Amino acid sequence: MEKNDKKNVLLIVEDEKILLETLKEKLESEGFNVVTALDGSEGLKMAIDNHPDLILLDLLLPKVDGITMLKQLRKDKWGSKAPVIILTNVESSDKIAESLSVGFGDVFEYMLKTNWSLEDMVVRIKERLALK
Amino acid sequence: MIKIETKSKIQYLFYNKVALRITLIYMALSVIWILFSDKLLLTDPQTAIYISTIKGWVYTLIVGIFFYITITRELNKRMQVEIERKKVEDFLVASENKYKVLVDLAVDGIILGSHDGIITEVNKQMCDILGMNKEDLIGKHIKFLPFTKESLAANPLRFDLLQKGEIVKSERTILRPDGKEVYIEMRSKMMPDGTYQSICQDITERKIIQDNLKIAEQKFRRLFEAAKDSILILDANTGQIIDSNPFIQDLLGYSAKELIGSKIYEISPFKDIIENKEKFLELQDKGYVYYDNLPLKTKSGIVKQIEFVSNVYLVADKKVIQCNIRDITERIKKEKELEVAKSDFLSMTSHQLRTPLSATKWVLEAIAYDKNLTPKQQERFGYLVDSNERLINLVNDLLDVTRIESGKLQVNKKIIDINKLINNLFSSFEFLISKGNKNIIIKIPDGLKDIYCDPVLIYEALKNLLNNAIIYGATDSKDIILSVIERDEDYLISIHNDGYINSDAILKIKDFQKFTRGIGASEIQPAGSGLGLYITKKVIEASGGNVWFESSAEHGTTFYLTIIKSKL
Repeated sequence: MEKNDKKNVLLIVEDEKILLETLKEKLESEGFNVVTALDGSEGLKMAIDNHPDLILLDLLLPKVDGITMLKQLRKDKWGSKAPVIILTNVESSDKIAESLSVGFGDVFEYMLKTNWSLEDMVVRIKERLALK
Repeated sequence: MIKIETKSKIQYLFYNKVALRITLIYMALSVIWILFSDKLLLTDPQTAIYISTIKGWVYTLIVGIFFYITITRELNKRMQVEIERKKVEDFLVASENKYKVLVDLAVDGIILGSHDGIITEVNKQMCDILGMNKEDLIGKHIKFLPFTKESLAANPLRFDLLQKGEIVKSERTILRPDGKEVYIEMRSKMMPDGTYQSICQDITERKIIQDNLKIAEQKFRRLFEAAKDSILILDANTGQIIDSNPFIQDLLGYSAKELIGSKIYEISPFKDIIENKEKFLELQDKGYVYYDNLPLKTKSGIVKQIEFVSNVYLVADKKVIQCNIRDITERIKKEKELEVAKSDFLSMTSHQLRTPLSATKWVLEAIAYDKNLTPKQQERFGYLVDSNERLINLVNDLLDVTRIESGKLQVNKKIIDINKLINNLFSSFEFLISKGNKNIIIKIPDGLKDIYCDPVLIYEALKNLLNNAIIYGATDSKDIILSVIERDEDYLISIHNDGYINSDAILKIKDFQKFTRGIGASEIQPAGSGLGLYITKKVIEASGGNVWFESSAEHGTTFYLTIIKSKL
């Protein structure tokens, strides 16, 4: 893993390849070091292995869904404090409530993909990282 | 009585006169005989002399007086007997008249019959009951009264029992000559002289009421027995079960025998509902009790979800409590399944619709970074981005509406920083604001920070109102003012612009109906769905607040919404 110390590492867990590739390219062009996972179990492994600075997590994922992955991540010592942005297209209050109860402080960290342009997302990600 | 006496007195005086006259005639004859006895052949001279003496006169007088007294006394005696006889006779006539009046005016029909069953007398009431004349009845045998065949077959005439001295009581139906059917109750008895007497009562009305009552009772029974609801009827004073239908027996697993007579608060399935006498008294006191979705443990230990309704009412002056218990286990299960299905559908639909839209959105954005597009291509590219955005907005709005209308709109209130929420709101509108060349003024009182609300819903509402203010506000007016005011009960948030909604347009949008847009709105923004205000109203109302607007050429347009402070 060629981890650049100056570069922030982002983990994108996303099963839709078009979205994953587009986002990855954009974030890399913004200078981030991006690692990706196509499902929840892979995502969890990548998170714990790489300790990314921020995780962009989809909810509807094969094998292990996003909420389950998040719950497992919170059990990990490092993972319990890892910053996560839910980036999904699922709009369900139940799901939001469930994910909030997993340890989210801020509801605005629940992003609907269609409502966010790549540009805005970069701004928001940078804000989040600056808060760290 | 006085009449009889007067009559007798006259007679008495008459007889007295007669007696006096007879005595006088006798006296006269005696005088003549005394005076002329010597000349009469029958008397010897000695006797004649004797007679003519004082003694003779006295003797004659005494005999005369005795004669008079005897006659008058005899007459008097006869007179007394005559008076007594007359008295008795008159009394009998009077009492017979009285009796006749009594029979005739009796409220019941009366038939008198000879020993062989021939009708000898009927009263007026009987004629009225039968709808016949007295003349048509007298002389006829009682069996020829217009009894219906069926009723006579069911209750035949029982002379045999009457002759044994029994009183025979029976109900029969009469088909009157006028076609009317009447029900009568006959009570017959043999008199000491071997004649018969029947007293008849018209019981048609009673019979009809009884029949109706019977039908009603049967109907009620059938309903009660066949009901798919469990029903218990309790004595309101004691709580004892008076009646239970088969359905509750099935539901609880208890037999009617086990239920009836037991007190409701002693039966274990009701322990959770009416666990003690106090609770029962409360039920009795309230008159109406409704519990939804209560657990009820059956005899076999299965827990069912039930709905419990009880009413107190009077049955013939006696208070009873009717408890309807509905097994809603299946319904609750189905409702939950439906909820899950709805929720799944919503999240799946939203995901499926948005995934290609977000792919298009991001890919288009990525292409836009390529600087080597021709101006023409760039223009066309802009169309693509716009179209995709319209589709995204439409999908978002439709999903909102679906969520609102399927009752899936959840309110999750918590304390948030209002400044942060509004800053977030404006940052997401940056592009539109700069494109429309607007000037945003935010007025939040110093120190106001924490507000208790559902941030998602408030954000949604403000987003719609701000969007409208930017897009539909007058092009030449620059200022959009968002202000927050804290009031006693709520926070008032207003979004103001200088645009003016004309009165026709106000009429169209004043109720915040869905798919309704203001006049001219499509010329300004063809992509609008007509859902924004509807969604705004729904989400604000769901949070307990209100939304309304004011618009005039003078003061511009202001939309208001309130956020209630109450934590309830």
